[in-house]
Amino acid sequence: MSGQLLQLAWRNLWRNRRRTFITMAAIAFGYAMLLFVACLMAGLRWQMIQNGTCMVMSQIQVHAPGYYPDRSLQKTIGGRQGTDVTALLAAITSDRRVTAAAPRVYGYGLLSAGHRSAGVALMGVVPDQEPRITTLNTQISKGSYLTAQVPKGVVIGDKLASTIGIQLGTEIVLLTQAADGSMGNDVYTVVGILHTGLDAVDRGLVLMSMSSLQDLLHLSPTRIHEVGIKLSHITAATVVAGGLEARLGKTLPVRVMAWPELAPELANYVQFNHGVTVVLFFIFFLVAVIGVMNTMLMAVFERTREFGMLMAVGMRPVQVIGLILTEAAGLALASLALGAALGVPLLWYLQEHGLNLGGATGEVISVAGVVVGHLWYGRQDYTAYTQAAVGLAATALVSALYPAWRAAKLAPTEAMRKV
Amino acid sequence: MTSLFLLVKISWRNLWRNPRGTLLTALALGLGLALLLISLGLLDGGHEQTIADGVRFGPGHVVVQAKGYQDSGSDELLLPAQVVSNIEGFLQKATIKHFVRGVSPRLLATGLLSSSASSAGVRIVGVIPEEERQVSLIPQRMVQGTYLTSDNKIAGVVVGDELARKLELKIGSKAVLMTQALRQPATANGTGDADEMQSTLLRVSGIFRTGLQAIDANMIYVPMSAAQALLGVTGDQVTQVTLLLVREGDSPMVARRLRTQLAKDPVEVLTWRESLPMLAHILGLDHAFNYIMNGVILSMVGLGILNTILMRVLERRYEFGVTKALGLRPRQLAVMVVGESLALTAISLALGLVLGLSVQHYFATAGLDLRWVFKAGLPPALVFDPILYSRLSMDRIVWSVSIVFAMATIISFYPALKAARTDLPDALKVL
Repeated sequence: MSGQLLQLAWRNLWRNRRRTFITMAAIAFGYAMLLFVACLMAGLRWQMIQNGTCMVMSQIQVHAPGYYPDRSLQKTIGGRQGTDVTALLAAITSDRRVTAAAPRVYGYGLLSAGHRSAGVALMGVVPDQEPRITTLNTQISKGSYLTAQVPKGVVIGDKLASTIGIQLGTEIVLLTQAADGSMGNDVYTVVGILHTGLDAVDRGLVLMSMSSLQDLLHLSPTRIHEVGIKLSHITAATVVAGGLEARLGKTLPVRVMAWPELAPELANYVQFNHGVTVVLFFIFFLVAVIGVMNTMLMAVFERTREFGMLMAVGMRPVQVIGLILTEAAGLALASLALGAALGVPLLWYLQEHGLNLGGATGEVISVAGVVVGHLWYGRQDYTAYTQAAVGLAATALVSALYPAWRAAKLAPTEAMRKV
Repeated sequence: MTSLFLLVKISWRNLWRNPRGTLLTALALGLGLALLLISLGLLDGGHEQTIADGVRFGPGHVVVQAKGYQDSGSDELLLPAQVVSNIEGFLQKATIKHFVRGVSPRLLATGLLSSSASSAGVRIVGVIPEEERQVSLIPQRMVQGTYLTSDNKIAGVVVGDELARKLELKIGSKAVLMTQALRQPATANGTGDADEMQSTLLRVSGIFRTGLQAIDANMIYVPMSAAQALLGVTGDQVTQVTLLLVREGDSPMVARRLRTQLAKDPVEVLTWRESLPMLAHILGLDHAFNYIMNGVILSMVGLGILNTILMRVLERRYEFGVTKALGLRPRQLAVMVVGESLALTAISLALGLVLGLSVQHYFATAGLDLRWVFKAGLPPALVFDPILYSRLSMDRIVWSVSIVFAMATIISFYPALKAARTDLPDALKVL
């Protein structure tokens, strides 16, 4: 019996191809649009987090307890003796979810060039390790990134450079209070100018190699302030941070913080934006649902006469309903597949090339710590895709069921009189 | 003429031959329009809210400052007192007064704020409290104490919560503000007197929290008189005069009129787009986002119309066959079908407008509380108001209604053509 039902449903679908096609178009197009929107929204969220964390901050930071947010020079990881940096990095990267980790040292100082000076934040990084966790090396607008050839080379923010009047190759003097209480000062050469779009960085950061900063601050090479970490999946940051703190904490007192804790403004903005997009996606979903519902209702209502005929020749009402539901289910599945097939190239394009929002300058800017470019990349959000598919399929079934149930309730003669 | 009237009458009757079907279809199309209006309202509302918050934390919709201040950021550039009174006088004029919600002069400088615990570099904003209240959002974001009042014995200071935490300041705490007197072009002679350090004692009267690190950790607000005394500014000079307008859209017009009025003075008049280029850029992106979303939702609504109209017509081949057999010419049949589609669209649009505008009105007055989206709740520090207020201009309503109507009209031609071409013998075959 069920074999016959399937056969009948199959034939019905092909009997009126135009009707089948219109219904399929409604579902498939609605689904493709939902895929498009979900992909863009996930991309927006991801891009905000990615830009916000990968420019300077990194996704997870390991500090000595009490170091953050005051950044006191003395509070290095492992206390005054410091720690075996290589072993610490190895312990961190042994977690499969961690893709890379790099050590950092921070300080504050006074930068002078010629007659002008400014207070600056000093950041010491290992030049060949830092690019694995942040994109600082790609944001050089003039000159080059830190290299081993120029150990006393520094990279400074572009706004700082223009305020003080610094060009590539300018010699600057950094004056700071070192860890032992003495005054440290030395001469450095500007090898690169940095533009991140983050005001605090562009206005007040001096980037240099970790070893020269340790020399300047009179810190031994075992003393570092921070380990920055990059993950394979950014969404897991808080969980991974908790795990790391527990694991590392057995041998070394540390505090491990994930990006939402490090940059509450960013987390806040991401959440606000998420709220807006959830509401929008829901509205879009409703539009798609209405389209599917309307099409399906009409497609089944117009067949009342046909169902009357089927019942007149001996089909039971339950079987009629079964037939219609089988048709609707088949149609929905095929349409969703079609919609997905339409959507896949679109999604691929969004993820690979992004959507150009104009503003053609290509300049990167920031507001509330959120950095935005003019290219909007998509990101796959399989949960939303599945929810949309299930929602549309359920809509199709329910909207077929209602007219089917009405038709099945009628006496065959009555049903056949309907046009 | 009579035949056209007859056709319209037939179209109308056709619609009501199956009232349930018609209403269902109209409801579906109407819901499409309603959702379009709702999403437009929310998108535009979010957009305007961002502008409103951005300008109220910053330099207002329109700002007047000394020429070159925007580029150099040099605090030594001040507006002479007679320019300020000129601006204030001009804005009192009846022709412009009703565009302006508030005017507040500000004196800006940098300094060092010290408490017994620690000290920090700060951005000093000297304000006239009563006028600043009209313009800035800070007075509305107080978490402890109150905003400045002008009748204190020791001048009050309002600080951000980040700064308060760092300096361990509480309401009533005393703090010393230290700064260099501004070197004024008129009195500057070489390098000497400008390096003079000045300090004053302030009492914390309030602590605010905006959620923006750059503001909460840096900005302090002090009464204008205290700021002028500290900085050695004489004769009521200020850095800038900020204007908050009733409507953002009037900014270019107000700026233009101020420019004309102040043509002789060495000043620059900037709209928020010029004074906050970052915000303008972000909003440009936001605008592009909104366009894409509008495009998507319109195409979905359009496809809904297409489906509905096609379905309605294509299932009635037999009926069209009969009318044709009775002598209706193809042209007349086409007019009938188009008429029917348009009548249906009109009903749908009416339904959609009623539905959409009532929901929109609810979101515009009560707002959409985004907090329900998050089970965990938002963190207490909120840069963005979690309640989104919908905002829908008449332009937008007219625009969406006409675009949906145009789509329906164009779409209805295809089935009309199809109906007109109905092949008589074939159509009359009983199913």
